[in-house]
Amino acid sequence: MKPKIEVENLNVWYGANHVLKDISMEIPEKRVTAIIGPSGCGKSTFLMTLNRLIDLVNGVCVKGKVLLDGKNIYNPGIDLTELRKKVGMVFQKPNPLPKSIYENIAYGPKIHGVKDRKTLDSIVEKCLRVVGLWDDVKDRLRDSAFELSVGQQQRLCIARALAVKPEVLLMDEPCSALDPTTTRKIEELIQTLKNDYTVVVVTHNMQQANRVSNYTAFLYLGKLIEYGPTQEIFTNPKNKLTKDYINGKFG
Amino acid sequence: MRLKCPKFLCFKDKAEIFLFILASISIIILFLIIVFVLNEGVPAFIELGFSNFLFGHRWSPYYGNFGAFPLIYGSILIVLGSLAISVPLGVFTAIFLAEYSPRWLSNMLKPIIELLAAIPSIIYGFFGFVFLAPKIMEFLNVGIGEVALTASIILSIMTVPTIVSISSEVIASVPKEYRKASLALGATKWQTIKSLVLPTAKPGIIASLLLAFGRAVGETVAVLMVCGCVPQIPSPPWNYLEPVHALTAAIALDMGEVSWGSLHYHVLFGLGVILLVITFIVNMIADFFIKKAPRGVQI
Repeated sequence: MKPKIEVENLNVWYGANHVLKDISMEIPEKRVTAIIGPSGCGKSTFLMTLNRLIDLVNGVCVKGKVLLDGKNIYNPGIDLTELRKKVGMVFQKPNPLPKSIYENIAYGPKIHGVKDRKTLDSIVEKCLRVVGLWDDVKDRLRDSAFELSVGQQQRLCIARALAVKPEVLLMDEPCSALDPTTTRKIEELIQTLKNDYTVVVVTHNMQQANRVSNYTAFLYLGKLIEYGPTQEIFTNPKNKLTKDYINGKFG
Repeated sequence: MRLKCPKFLCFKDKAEIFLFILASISIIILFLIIVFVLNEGVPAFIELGFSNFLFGHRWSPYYGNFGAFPLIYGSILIVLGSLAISVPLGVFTAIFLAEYSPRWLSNMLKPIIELLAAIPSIIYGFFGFVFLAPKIMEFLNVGIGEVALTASIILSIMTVPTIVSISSEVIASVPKEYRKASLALGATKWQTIKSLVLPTAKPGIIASLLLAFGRAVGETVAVLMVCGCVPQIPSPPWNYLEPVHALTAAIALDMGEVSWGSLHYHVLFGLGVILLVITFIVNMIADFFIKKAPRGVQI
């Protein structure tokens, strides 16, 4: 299995708070990798190190390497625009932009220099089809994105991330604000996405990790406790902490 | 006990009654002022004829020439000139303070800039008259320093603080979630500001420009001291290096000397009506822009 992302000895501090401790793992290409663990264990922080959105946090210090296709994204010469174009992100709370449905999708391509109306139209249609929103919204593309339901908004955000043709998609608890029906739809979507994208999904919902992912990493207090094929982690965990967490002894 | 009253006057408690009365008082006062100004001003329009008054080219009230056009033109010229300076200056300063400057710097600069808004206008007028006008005469080699440009510069200094303090608040209040979404798509900081933050903040920024316009067009003393008070249309009409006169300045200059109830008296109120109409029109235009983008949502 070819790794898409290789994390080597990654350490992150917020001020004096050591939140990620010596994490090393390989994230395989075109698979879904789930990051599980109790809240505050550093899952979201870990995700933000992969597209360097963590740079926005005041007083953060990152040590170690994150290799994307073999190139360290923490090298001084790295082009953040290129990196974030390749590594898209979906947030915990749906955050559509205060623009129309159409403009939400077209925003990314426009930023990266796509001006042609027809090209934009086709990108918008394609991305909305992938997330299964096209038939619902094709007649009201000019309406505000806020008029969509929360679940539709989250799918819109996924479509928006896909519009810049990323290779990796980071999802930070994408279903935590959604009801069970919508959650199932998003999970099905994640399943189809792995054919074209490398997906890393953070979740505190173990059943979800079990359902959607090929690989699972268990983080606890900033440390990577166990990492392996999802099947093994859930049926035969090697570490006692993992076993206790999966059996719901703590959370 | 329920008070007997029409439906919209059904109050739930005493505080509501109290607040309703206070709100009514201010609205009634505003309404009375407008009625009063109209009542005193309209006779001028009737006696002189609407177009003679509005478009007459000669303003020499002591010889019976009441053409308000040079005053209207002078006011508009001065205000447009001041906005041409204060809008870019104010908006870009606001962007800098809200987005780029370190927190300690904006915490230091904002109160200072807001203090500028609190300085009485006579001080600005004095500064313009004593310092700026001579400098303009010297550097631009004109015969007199009290010209339209001087007034525009003084007005822009007076209005920049309003634009900066309101706009920077509005810009800073654009939610972080939006910015994160944009940055995560690979947008640079400037792209995020240009295509996301500013469009979202647009209604608030326009509101700040409107306040600045209101202050500029209504400013009297400072303008009176530095505009030259010559009721003429410069030649060419866009020549900022000639003295002009303004609606507000003309009212203030003549008000003390007119005899009560004379045509001159009504004409001065007529100028007031024109000022009201100008601000009203600008307000409506701005309202249109703000309403076009409800709740910062726009296409």
